[in-house]
Amino acid sequence: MSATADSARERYLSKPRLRFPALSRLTPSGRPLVYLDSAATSLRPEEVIDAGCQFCRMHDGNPHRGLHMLSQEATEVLEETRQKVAEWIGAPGAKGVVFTRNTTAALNLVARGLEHSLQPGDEIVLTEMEHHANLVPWITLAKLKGLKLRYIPIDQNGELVLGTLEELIGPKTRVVSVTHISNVLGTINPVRDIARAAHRAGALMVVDAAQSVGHMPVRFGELGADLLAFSAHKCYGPTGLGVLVGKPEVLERLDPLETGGDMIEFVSYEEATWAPVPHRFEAGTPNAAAAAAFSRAIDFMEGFGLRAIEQHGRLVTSYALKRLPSIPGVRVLGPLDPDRRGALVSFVDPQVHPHDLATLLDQNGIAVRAGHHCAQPLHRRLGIPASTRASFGIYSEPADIDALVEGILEARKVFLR
Amino acid sequence: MSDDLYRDVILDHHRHPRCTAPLKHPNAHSSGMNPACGDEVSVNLDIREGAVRDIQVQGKGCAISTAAGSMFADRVKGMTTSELKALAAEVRSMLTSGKAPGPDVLGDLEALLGVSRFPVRVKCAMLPIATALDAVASFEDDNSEKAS
Repeated sequence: MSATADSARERYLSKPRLRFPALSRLTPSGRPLVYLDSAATSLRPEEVIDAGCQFCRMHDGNPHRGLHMLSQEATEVLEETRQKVAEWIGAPGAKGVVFTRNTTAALNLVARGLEHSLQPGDEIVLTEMEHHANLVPWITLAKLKGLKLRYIPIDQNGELVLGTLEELIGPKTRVVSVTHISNVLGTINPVRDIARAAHRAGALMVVDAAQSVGHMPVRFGELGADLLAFSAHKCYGPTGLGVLVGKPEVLERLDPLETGGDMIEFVSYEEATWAPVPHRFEAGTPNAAAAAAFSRAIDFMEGFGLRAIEQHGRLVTSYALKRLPSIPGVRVLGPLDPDRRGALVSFVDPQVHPHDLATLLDQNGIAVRAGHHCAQPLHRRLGIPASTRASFGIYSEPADIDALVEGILEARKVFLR
Repeated sequence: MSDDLYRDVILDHHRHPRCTAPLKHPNAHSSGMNPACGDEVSVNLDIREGAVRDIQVQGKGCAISTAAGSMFADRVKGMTTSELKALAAEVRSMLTSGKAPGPDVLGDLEALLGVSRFPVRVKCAMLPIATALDAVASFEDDNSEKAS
């Protein structure tokens, strides 16, 4: 390789932004895109997009079905990715990795999969900061089975009040299901401590890791979880692929939510028996192209190292926590200590409603999330109808926060004119 | 572009929403919510002899939703319920087609024309209007039951 090519490559690697094609776009305002919505979905680097395309172009068979070359290659891609995810997340082997559509589908699988092992009066413990994905499946199940839902409260900093665990988690508790990082407050929850309390009571510990996987080192075994869910698209991978990580003996206790092709062992006109874990949870043709792309996303993240990604996120978050409150009246939600939170900052501007702010920011090429971020009960608990959220990825830079602050001030001008 | 969406008349209705005072004799009510953002609105009407004697619109929402509620309430006072429904249909048609009807049909509501260029915000503008329609519909349901 020539010296010029070498330096071009070095620049490419040292500047993560250059690896994300979407960031090369100009917005209709003529300004470059400032993407601050990574908690909704991260952008995808070129190599991940290419890996998905390459699968579709050359290896696009239906996994587990055909005896021909393309089907076998698709099977290899899917199962190699399963193995890779298992090692990456610290699952107890490939048997502990179930592919789903997304985190929501994984948590529904858990809730509905436990339906037959729960009795009226059993208790499920959640927190006040859950995303609807870790709330509505349990509310639905509670109604269906006569279960009682209990909530670990949050304090003024948006952190869980752990002193309540002893009272909330008891002999009737069957499941404790908690978000690892709040998608609104950014709070990193002490999952290990909560898991200990759950296990002392003989309950299952479920973790919604949608906001933590890909943003910090997450090891399934170290968290003390029995089941953990995340989405590929929130960590530089494609949409349409989620993962439920589980201890195989716990997965054995779940009933499959969907039945049909590929999840069976033996079928007659009257009976069917299930395939072993994890395949019994994967009815129908799986998203092998997404698996191919996600495999490359793991390489991409490991190229930096999750510790480095976490530190980068913290750097941008610290800067946002410093700059946003410097705008008079703006109130940041969640812990103010950047070491206690993930790479996102939600805030309230008393002068401009989040929807108006998001529209006005968008006109300046700045993408944020506005609304309740799929956490209506939390917003009600905080006494606000909605908030605005800026969330970060490996491509985010302090300059993005400067653009955001400037955008907020410009939006205020529209309302003050 | 933002001037097109946030016209002065919209900002004025947002800052000083009309028709927010409680009614003495409300007989039609509905509340609505935008599940996308959590905005809430509540509409009370005093309907007598098929006409809107008074209306109250209250809620927590963005500038577009607050202004739309205020402008709509201001305009429908004194209208018959059929006129209210026709007006709502005109607003909806403008928001989806991007074309304003003839002069004097919409009054201040015509300022919402810019919203048509922001499809995700059409729901914001329609929330109070759809809620008012809902209140009228349930009023008419109740009264047709009483009559039959």
